[in-house]
Amino acid sequence: MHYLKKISNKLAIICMVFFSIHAYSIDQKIETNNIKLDFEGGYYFLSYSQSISLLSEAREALSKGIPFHFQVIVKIYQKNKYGFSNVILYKEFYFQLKYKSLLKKYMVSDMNNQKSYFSNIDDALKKLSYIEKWNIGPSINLKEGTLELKTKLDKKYLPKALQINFNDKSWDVKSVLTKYEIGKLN
Amino acid sequence: MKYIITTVAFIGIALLILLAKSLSNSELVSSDTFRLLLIFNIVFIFALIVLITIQIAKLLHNVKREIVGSRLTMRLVLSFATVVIIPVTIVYLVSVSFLTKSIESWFNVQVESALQGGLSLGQKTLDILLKDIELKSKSMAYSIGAAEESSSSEILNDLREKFSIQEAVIFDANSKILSVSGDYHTPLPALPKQEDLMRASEGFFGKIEEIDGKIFMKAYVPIPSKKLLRTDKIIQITQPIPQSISDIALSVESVYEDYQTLAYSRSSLKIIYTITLTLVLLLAILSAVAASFVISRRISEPISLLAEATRQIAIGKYNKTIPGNSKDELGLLVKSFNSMTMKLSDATKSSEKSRERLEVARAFLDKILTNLSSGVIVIDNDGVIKLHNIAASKIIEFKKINMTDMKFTNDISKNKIYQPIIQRINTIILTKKIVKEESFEFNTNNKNNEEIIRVQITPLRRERNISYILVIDDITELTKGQRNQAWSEIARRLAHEIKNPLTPIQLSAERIEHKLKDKLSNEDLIMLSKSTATIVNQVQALKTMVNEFSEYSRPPERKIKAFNLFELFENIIELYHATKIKITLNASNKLISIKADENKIRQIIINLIENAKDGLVKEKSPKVIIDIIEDNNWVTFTIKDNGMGISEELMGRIFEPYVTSKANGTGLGLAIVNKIIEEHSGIINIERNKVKGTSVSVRLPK
Repeated sequence: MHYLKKISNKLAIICMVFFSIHAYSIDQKIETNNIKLDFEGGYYFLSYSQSISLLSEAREALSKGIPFHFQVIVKIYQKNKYGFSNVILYKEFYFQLKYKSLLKKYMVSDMNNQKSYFSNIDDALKKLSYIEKWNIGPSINLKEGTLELKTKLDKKYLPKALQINFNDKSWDVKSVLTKYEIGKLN
Repeated sequence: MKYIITTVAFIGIALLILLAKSLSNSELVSSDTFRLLLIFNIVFIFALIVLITIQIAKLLHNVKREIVGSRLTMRLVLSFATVVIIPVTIVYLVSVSFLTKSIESWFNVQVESALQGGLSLGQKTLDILLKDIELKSKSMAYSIGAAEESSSSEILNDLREKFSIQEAVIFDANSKILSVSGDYHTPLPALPKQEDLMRASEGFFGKIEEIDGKIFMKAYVPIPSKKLLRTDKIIQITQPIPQSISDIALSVESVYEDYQTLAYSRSSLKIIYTITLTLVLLLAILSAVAASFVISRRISEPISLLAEATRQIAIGKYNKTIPGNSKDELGLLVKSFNSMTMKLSDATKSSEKSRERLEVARAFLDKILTNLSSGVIVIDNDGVIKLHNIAASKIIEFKKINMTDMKFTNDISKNKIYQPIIQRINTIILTKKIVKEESFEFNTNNKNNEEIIRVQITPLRRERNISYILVIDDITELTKGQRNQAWSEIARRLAHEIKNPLTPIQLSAERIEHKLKDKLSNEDLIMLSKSTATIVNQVQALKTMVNEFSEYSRPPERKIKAFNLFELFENIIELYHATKIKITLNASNKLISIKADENKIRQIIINLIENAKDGLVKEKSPKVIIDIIEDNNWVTFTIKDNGMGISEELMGRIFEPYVTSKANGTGLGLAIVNKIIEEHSGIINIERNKVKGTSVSVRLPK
């Protein structure tokens, strides 16, 4: 029993360290605001502004040619009378940020795979700072509902070593899950 | 336990393999899965550590308790662990070092310079090509600007073909296409971005873009106007990089980026590989240590069992067998041991049976010896008593009931009268060294209680040792019996021979007196009468004596029936009321039933009271006290007087015929009493009172 107590104490310490690392990693790096949702011709169009801040390690990795794939998850749902979510629309999109060594330029590929080239990373990030009228898909015009928006750096496109190196917070680039009431927005 | 350890070790190793595989296959295993595997591995390592810790604690506990085999197990575990830990640690250190160096060896200055050079070459080539396009686009812009507006399309077409341009488009300030010229396969031109047009309005602006894996150059040049001061048209030239150059440049870029990516993530790679290797090391060592417990137990178990079984055999448990089916040397040893224990067990059982038989025989012999009236003593060559029975200790009157292993000396008897016997036996044994059976009889010559003891000495030779068996018999009673029998025979013959002539003598004497009484003078008649009276009296006395002899020698005849002893005493005492003797009868119960020959018992009582009366002749206040006591199946009556008593000399022989203290006694009274009591299986005892008189106790069965 004595040994078991000792071991359980050690396990508790390890769990605390692990969860503290995890807690630190949820620091917000992408700020999303100025959301606007338009409904035109049976489609929802989403506009919002975002600020992506990257740490120096991430910037360096980017400059070495490591591509950053940002995943945008959009979900529109309504709560039924039982309190369960009834998903009306769910969409995942990617936009990419990459340094092209040959061209000596940062390339931004938007949700529609339109590519833009920039001489520096700040210009490239500026390009991503405003999303205007992004067609997120067909839907019915809801009077009430909730829109959830979350943007994050998808680590599965990073090199394996960087994916696994879970102690490095540079790769935890993501926004908080932001909820917007559709009725209020319209 | 071994199943738990094996399972945990196997699961850990499986997870480790999965972990190692996940490093090389990024498609199949995500980073989250990798982390999960990592955590599982760590958990399993902890599980192994816990199991091993428990095992170590148990082992140390067993060692402390000195459980057989625990030390051997500990030694084996330490040996196995040492054998595994040292090489595995060396391999681990070498692997980590090798891995670190290998990863570092991927990156060196030469490779990096070569890749950088290749990339720079590609960049320079693109710059040169872009410069070429700049010249061509400017030339085309001037040519179009100098020409008439109406023929600009033809000129554009001519110029495009002249400069081998893939596509040329003229836009106005509002991005409206004014004129297009391009290859047949060229799709519709892409509209320029507003910022590109704005930049182009200030002068030449060129850029290189990658579209669908191909590199394109785009040049924007304002077309000078003849009329207006400012330019309102822009020509856009689109020219792909030659495929061969584009492929090489993109390939160099790809390799360069891969190299840079690897170089950037090398420290992470090192950490991950080191963690994986460390986990491998820990799992390998812990699995090996855990396995060492199982293997050590498997090796030491039969040895422990052998040791335990040997210990059991040492304490006399021969039926211990060891389970074991292995076919190795240990298995052979176990089989041999089991065979040995079986044989030992059989031998022990046989020995036990023999011992039991011996014990039974000994018990039987002991019983015989115990119940034997003869005393038996076994003495060894050194004169030490090796065995004796109770009868021996009673006859010789040993100081203790058990005198085994004591020297057979005078000290063993508490009664000095037996010392001469002991001395004589020792003399025979120690000095004469007899070889044949010898026997002797010994009379203690004790005045109070004469004893005749017969000793028979038999030498018993066993190899070089010699023991002596002494058979000691107290033949006092036997001798007395023989003597009594002889006296009875004499009495019977005397009675027969004497009684026959007594009546004729008496009749003859009376006839003489009758015939001569008239013929003799008074003086002679008086003398005759006196003589005749004397003859008649003496004949009567002789008849009485002969009758007593007859009584003493008569064959035992008893008429047993139940009667009240107390009542019998009362009737007898009634006869003595007329005398001056005061007889007191004490009894707890007035109904004392006894089965005996009433007449014989009356004869005993009268005889004893008569004896007491004879002793009380000179006593001024003669007293006889009779006590009757019931004791289970026995009745004891004691007749106590305050008379002159019996002399010490006579006490030992008082029951013998013709032994008497009375002047006129025949000496047959007590002999007859004794005989009657013996016939009734009773006991008689005569004691002299402490102060005065005699006490006679008679103990009879009810």
